[in-house]
Amino acid sequence: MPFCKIALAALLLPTAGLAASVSIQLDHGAFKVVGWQPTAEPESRWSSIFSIYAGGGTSWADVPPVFGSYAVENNTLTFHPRFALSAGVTYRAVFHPPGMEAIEATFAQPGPNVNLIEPTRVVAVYPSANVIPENQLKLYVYFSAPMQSGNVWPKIHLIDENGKPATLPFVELEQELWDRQQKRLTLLFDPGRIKRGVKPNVDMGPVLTEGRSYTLVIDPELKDGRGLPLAETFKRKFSVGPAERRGIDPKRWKITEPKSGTRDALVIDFDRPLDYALLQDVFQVKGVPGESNIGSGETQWRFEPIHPWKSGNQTLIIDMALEDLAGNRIGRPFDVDTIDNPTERITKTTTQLSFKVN
Amino acid sequence: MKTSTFFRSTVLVALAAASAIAAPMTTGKADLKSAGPLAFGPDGILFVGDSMSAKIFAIDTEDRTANASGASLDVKGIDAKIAASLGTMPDQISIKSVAVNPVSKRVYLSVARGKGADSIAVIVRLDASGKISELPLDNVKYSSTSLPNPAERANQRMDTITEVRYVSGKVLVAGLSNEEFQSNMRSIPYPFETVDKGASIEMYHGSHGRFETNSPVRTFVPYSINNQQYILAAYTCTPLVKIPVSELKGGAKVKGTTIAELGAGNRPIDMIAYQKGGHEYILMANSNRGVMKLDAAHLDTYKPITAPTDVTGVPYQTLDDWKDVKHLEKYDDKLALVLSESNGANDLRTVALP
Repeated sequence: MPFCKIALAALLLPTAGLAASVSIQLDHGAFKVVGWQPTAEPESRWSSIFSIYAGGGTSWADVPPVFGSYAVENNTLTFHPRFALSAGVTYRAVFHPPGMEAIEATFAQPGPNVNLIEPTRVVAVYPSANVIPENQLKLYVYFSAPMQSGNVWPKIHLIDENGKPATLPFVELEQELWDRQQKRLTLLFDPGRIKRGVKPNVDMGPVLTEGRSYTLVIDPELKDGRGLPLAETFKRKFSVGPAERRGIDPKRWKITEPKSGTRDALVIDFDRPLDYALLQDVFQVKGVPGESNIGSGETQWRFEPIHPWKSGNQTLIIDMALEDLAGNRIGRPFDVDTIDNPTERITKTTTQLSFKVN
Repeated sequence: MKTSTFFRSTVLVALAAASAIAAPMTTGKADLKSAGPLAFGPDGILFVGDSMSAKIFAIDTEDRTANASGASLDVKGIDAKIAASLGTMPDQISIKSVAVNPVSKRVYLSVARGKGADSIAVIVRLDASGKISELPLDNVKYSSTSLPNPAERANQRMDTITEVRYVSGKVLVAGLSNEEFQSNMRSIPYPFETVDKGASIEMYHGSHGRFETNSPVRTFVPYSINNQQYILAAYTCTPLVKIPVSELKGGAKVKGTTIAELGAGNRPIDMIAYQKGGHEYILMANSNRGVMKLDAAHLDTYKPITAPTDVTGVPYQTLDDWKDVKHLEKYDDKLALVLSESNGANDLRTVALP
């Protein structure tokens, strides 16, 4: 009998002062129960007595716990969240072993300091020229820093000169067409509305009408990678000229040949503006390394070699992916007329132009 | 002695034969840089489109317990629940795709944790009660294949994978480039071969009058007509097109047969094919038009539409009460799975096939 009483007392003594000294701490992204000696993991698992919740909002009730793993490290029950804690989010940790009152702690993660950060802005929209063809196929929007993707469409508008927003001017793909860094967004005009004789064209009419002008408006609510809005509303006005329906013909380009022994630029002037993004990579002077630049509203490509030109014939290799503003390619208009010009299957991926260095 | 030698050599021969046909999967970390469109193959193999790394992954979910039907689900605020599980807020995640394992009827979702270029790819799955768990991607059996991306032009150019489907031993991948205007389809044999020889297939939808167009495929679904395998594809300018799978060969220029015009302003998102009461139907979800139910009974007999016309081809009805559908998948023989968005929250629920 006395032995039992001592045993019972021995059990009670440790718990009496326990609640006062137990706390939950956040240490290098891991949540720890400090001041509590972990015993064996309960049958109902550690998650039944120690859980972390994110966000919470108005009610913690329906929020499932954060995914993660448990470990006993240095005699301390520790929870490692599966993913790093998010900036600006409040986390709530609850420790409730049997026979003890629950302990809670909240940890508010700091968000980005708005005052110290340079806001992100739109730096350029291509094409750079102010006049675009009625069948313009796409616009490229370049940002100064990486952006968030998702739900961009409500924040991008095309407004006509009367202030009326166009209905669905762009193909609103859920996935969106960003580059890998999410610094460039491709906006695609709905091809169905551009095409001749295609039903949506007949029903809704083309997006752009020759002779009118439109403004691309990007709301500042479009968030950058830090979750912050843009510096300001971006606006860019375009006037609309006639549709461009001819295939690209490199024979109509003007080539200014450089002189041998110099590092003068090879200059190619096109007969119309071409696609800015494609111009970055479609040209290659065979065997000659150098740097290229695009100028004059994407009507000119300039190439300066690293080493002086050698005299003789040179070859410019052109990737057939090259497009003009309306999506026409070399030898192939965007609209393939199946009656007048039965489609000739173009299988080659590059073509070539020769020029001479004297 | 003789017996054991015989046995050993027999085993070796059997092993050699088995490895010649086995899928070349490795066990390790499936290093997804993004988790986009999902589709199930046979035996619990989950295909994931990873646009960031230009790869298709095949992951063995080991989820092979057969269930003829699935539990009915009604998970309100599934985006908030997934975000909380991933330790963040709902506006910091994007649900990219939803798939149902046809064997077990378990629901899988691909999610981006974070919305920047450095977002983390996560795949979660639900149990019958709607409880969310993560599909671990490390120490998993998987294989992958790379999608060609012109190496000379890999700078900012990217193909965004818009849909993945498995049909007749092939993984079909629809993609759209962010530079040259190209809507392409790739037909990749599965198990993946070590070298992807498949050239892209150019998708043209049926000409309206004179002009053909290379148009983005928005969504497609495998479909069988008179025991022949087709895909039904919906385009950004609304026609519904049927294409024989046999034509989807690398390098081909494929022009489907337009079988329905579904009206202007239609933006198709998802399509499923199902049977009810002995009839065949197609359910198509649109961004702004709700859901349309098409009578698919005789897709082989509808005349191809080649002129601008008001005649719609396949008859259909609009279901007004199916609203704000973002994803639509077949769940089992009686139910569809719908992810809808209303008041900023995403709800996932099973709905009787109409």
